[in-house]
Amino acid sequence: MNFISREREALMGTTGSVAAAKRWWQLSLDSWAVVLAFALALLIRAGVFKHIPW
Amino acid sequence: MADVITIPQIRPMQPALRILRIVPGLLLLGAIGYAGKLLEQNVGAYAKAHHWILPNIEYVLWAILLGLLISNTVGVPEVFRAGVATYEFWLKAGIVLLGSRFLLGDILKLGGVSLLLVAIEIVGSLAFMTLLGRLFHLKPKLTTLLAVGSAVCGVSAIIATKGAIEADDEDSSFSIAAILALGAFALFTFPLIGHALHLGDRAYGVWAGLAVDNTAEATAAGALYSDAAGKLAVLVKSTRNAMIGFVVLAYAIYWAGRGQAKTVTNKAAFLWQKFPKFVLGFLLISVLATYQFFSKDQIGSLANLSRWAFLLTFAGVGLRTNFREMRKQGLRPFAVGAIGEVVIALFTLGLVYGAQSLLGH
Repeated sequence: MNFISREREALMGTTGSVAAAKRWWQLSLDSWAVVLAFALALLIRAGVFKHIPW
Repeated sequence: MADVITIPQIRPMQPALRILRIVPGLLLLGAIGYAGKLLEQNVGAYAKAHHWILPNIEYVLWAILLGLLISNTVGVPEVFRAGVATYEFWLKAGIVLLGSRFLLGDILKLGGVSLLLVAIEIVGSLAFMTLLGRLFHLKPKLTTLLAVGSAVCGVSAIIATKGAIEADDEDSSFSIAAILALGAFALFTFPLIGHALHLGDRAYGVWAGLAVDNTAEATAAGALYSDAAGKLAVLVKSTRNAMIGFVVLAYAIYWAGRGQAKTVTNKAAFLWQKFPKFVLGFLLISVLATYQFFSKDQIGSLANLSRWAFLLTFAGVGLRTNFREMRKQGLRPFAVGAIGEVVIALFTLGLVYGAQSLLGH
């Protein structure tokens, strides 16, 4: 398995069936991506970031 | 006196250390992505100033090409690997943010059509790949992994299925290598075929979302065609991703019935665990945008933020593609994957032509 797959398997926590109880920071990669995206969206909505250039 | 043997305790890595570990690779993703953006601007301007006729090469392609160059020449040093692997994380964050550019009505209309196409694509692809695996005498679990990888969502589906059906590492390595190699191939051929067939942005975007396996490659293949095609490719690919839980559950039940995997006791929890949460995030942010929670300027900022996230993703796509490593995995699974992908690409192209009146232009 290449290095990306190994790292991802560890990050995603998708192996096995239903995972055992996790600590709060052990969310899946997916969930962290959603948390980060919403945090950034709320900061933009609150006017903390006025304009994101491209 | 007896010798005292001390057994070293293996402690899980602390969150702060994990974050530190990804910093070098993240900087590399940013540097390659930004170099791609600078190349897009400067090569075009240079060609124009010298009256050269050059096609406009977008940052997407530059970032992928730079990543490929590094990965296939000097390689990715160990210190960068953990950070480079986060490209999937940026892809998912980028997709959630991209939801702000969709109105809920569009999602319901296009999502409804794409859901139907995705259902046909998944059933057709699973059946065809299973048949192909049998014809080539591949191991049944390897066939399952290749089928799920081609039908649903590439590497994520293979990793999710591997755990659920207790497939071995070698089988998943074979499948991942085949899917990655074919994804890299699709990245460069799909836009060319789309242009040759004069496909509209919508038709091409739906086709890329239906036929390209990995979400990162599907997003890149769409973005290489046009911005509108990229949006559609992400929408259709996300619809495909949403099906992952059902397909993996079906295979888990099948292999458990044969006594070759653990029985799934709580099916609802299993589905929730496998469901890609970024699809929910994408829908939720689109609901917020539809009900004007964000102003027009703020939606512009969210869209730009999504582009920055994709910039890191495309650099990662190039960096993780190593042709030498793929060649090592052997020819047979690759041949099965390649035949399957060509047939799936043709089949989905037929579906897109058939549904063109529903999709619009």
